[in-house]
Amino acid sequence: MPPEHGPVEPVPPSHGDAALRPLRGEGLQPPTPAELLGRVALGDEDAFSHLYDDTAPLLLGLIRRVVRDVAMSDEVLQEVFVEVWRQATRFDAQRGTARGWLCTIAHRRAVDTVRSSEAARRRDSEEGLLRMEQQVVDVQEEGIMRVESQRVTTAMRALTALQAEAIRLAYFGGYSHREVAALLDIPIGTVKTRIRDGMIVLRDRLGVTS
Amino acid sequence: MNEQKHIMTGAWALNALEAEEREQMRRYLAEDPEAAAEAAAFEETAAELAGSLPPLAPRPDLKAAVMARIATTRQLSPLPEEEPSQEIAQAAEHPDATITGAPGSVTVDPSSAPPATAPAGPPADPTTDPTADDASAPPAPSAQVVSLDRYRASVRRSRWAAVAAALLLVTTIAGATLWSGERAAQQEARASLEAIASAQASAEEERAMLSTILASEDAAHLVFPAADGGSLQLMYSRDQQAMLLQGTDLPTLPEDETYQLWMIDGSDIVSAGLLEDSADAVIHEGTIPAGVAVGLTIEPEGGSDQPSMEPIASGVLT
Repeated sequence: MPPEHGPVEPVPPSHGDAALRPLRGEGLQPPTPAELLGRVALGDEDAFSHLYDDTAPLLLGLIRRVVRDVAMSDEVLQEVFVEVWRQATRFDAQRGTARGWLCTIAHRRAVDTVRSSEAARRRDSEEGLLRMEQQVVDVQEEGIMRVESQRVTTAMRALTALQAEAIRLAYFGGYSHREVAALLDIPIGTVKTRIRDGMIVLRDRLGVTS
Repeated sequence: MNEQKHIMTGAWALNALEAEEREQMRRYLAEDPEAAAEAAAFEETAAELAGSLPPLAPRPDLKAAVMARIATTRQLSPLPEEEPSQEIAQAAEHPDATITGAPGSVTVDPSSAPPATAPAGPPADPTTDPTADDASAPPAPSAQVVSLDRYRASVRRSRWAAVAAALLLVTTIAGATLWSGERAAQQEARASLEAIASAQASAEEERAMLSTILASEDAAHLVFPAADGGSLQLMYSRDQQAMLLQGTDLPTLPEDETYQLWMIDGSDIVSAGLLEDSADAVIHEGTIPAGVAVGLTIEPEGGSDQPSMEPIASGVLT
């Protein structure tokens, strides 16, 4: 440590804080989601409460985008956090970020919900396909309008139109690659490659390291 | 590398695969670290997309519902084949519950009292609720469940120490005389033993009761402080339907008054005996219903049918 302020500068207190932080989570900075998840894995309900406060708005934003229905989204959010509680013991900070882990659980649960409710609706309604097409327009418009983060918007611009649409429909629309193929009227194999090629571009642009 | 499958990493990360393909892909990723790393990076990338969405604050009642649900949800084992590590996580939520006294409330949990045969420590049953409360209990100072170490210390201090020592003597002497055959020595020892025992009114019964309780798995020792100083001590075993009650350092009463013990089960109040002397002990045999309370009052000489005052010491045997 360079002695910028001379030897009288009190170093021990900051050292003490740093030593306390992993134990108490009450240092100079609030605990990160990964630290909170580590404590949740040990059954710490306070840490879970804190984690909920920190991440529920992010996850509800994602869930609502996919699910749309307000009451159903609320239900999915609850299911997601119960899953987070159960599976926290399996979270490995070496293998990925807490945010990535949380979003994966939330997105998967949201998609499962729309798929099963969509399947139910399709059985109930002859107009299923029409409704699906109406939703597509919606998703496309909103996808363009609401991809707000400048970084993400910039990265999305690096994609071809087909890549961007396929990714938006799959991730924000919660559609399967078969549905995406039907909606964009392209072969399924093409959807798979477009999505993967697009994800490689986004990954590199957004600086995600594996 | 399986080209056909590797190409699905993107669709996998965006949850765009249908159930059957998803399962095939899961198995493929488990075998192909390169594809798994790519899929993991795509999931991180997808989270970046999620972060670009406007966050939505959930309704406040959702959190309460979630907190209530996780409180009754067991967490997964970190490794499916290593279940025991989960027990540690569970136990961490339930710190030592042997001291549960709280002012103004009577919180007694017999199941958390350590058995006489085991070292003091956290209760073995993690589902034990250390804050059992009984609003119907009469107002009284707080009660404490005393850990075994403190219990032993208090036994040493109390006159029960003599009883316990005598018990030990009986055992030793009985064992010794079996082969020594020295009747005189035995009688001498028994005489001194009786001298100790005679310090108590019903020493024999108390001694039997004490040894029964001490030998039981669910032995519990409670101390309920009394309003004017001193305390009421209870030692009991539900399994053995045995209880010893004793006043400790209670103020000496005038000739025409006596301490009286009560068993209070809802509106049903039954005398449990008189403490003629402030250090007297009382035996109670029979079932100890959950939630029954014990109370101590001051009554006219000879005792009363029903208590004439609010208890000066009381507590619930949950």
